[in-house]
Amino acid sequence: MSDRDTVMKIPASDGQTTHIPVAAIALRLWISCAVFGSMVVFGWMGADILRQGVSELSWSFLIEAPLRSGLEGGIAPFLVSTGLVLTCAMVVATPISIALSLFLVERLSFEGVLAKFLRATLMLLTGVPSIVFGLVGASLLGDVLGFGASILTGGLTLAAMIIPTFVFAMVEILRLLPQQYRFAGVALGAVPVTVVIRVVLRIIRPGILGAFLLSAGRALGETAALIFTSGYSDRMPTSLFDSGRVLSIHILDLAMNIPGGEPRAAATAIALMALFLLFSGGVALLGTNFGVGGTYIE
Amino acid sequence: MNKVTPIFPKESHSIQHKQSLFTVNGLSVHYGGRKVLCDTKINIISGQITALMGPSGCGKSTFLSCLNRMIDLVPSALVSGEILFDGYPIFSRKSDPVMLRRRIGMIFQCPNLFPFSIRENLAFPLRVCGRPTRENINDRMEQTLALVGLWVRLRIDLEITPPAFLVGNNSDFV
Repeated sequence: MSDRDTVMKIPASDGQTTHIPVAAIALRLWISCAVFGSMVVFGWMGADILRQGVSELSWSFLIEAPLRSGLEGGIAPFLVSTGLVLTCAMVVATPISIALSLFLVERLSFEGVLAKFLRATLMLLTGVPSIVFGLVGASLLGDVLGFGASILTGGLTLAAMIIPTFVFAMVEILRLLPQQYRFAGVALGAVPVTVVIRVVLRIIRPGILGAFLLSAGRALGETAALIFTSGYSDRMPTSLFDSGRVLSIHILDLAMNIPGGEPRAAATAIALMALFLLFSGGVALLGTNFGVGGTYIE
Repeated sequence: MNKVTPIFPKESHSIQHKQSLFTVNGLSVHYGGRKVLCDTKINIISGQITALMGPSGCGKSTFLSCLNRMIDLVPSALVSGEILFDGYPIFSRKSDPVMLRRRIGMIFQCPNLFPFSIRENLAFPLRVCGRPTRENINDRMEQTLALVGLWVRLRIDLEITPPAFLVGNNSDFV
């Protein structure tokens, strides 16, 4: 504690006086308010959704096709469509994002012109509203390439949308990796590519998993980009070229267009959150089983 | 253990001869605009222990990183002068830094072990320098650990102990 710190005198139980800097008290107060406030807000939201939707939840809700615009029946086709769109997006986005981030960090100089240009472009893309991605995806993939409103169009549009997020997360992880590991690999006679494959990628696997889940979470909850691209059809999709409605669009439809659809929308929201929890848990479990669950040691 | 292959090839017995292993002539290194080494000259004789001593920041590590071209990894470094390794100019265009580093080992100031098991750390240079069989790697590992007196201490922990848990000089030895 420096002499210039403003301190608050707090009497202790043993009769002594404790001096605590005012800045430390303010910091504790700020963190407590933020944590408590977030818990209240998210708790209230979760409780409200549960209150509205839990009565609609049943096994048949998950495995049946919708009837009367979703007011009856279940959400099975939407679960399948969501899974397919997400798989399509992640299968395309993951290798591209990892390759891009490796190129940005391992190949280019961080302060170089090309690296700065690419980072600025990705930053710009991160800020583009998802509805714009939807419009471009519908026009480029749907009309020009002829995929129409389909799961493939939706998946590819989502992939384009989440790549900047994925790359930024990966770049941060790669930059956090101590340079000593790269030097050690090179000093042992490995070529830089071998160091990247055998050392860098191996050490940052938990980070890749984190970036993957962050991007998947963003893709799973996306609505605007999919309105024009994956379509509105409530039938069970049979191929990637079929139109399919994802859960988030179904929630939007029930809440906005169907009178009395709010409980069903809340039940679908619960299913969407449960799907993401299952997905995250599954990926984390898979990662742990393949030795991804650790972290690197400084 | 079955058949053990020798660690050093027979040619390396020439290490006993008193010949110049490194000949450094007029070596200068600049980091950006800052001169770190200036017209350095030294002969390092094979089979002898050579120590570089000097105050912190005088360029000892820079000099060492020139000997196996680790200095190439520093983007701002500008190297001039000549280093001959076994009579061969290491900074010539034909010189392959990867092959050079496979011949000239380097131990860093801080132990630079990967956060893998000890076995994987020891196997790494063997794997990147060729494609030996698992048995061959195990034999060499046992032979090398026995050479530095660590085989008895480490053989149980080869698979499970992360290198950061090694204490004292054991990290340097690994």
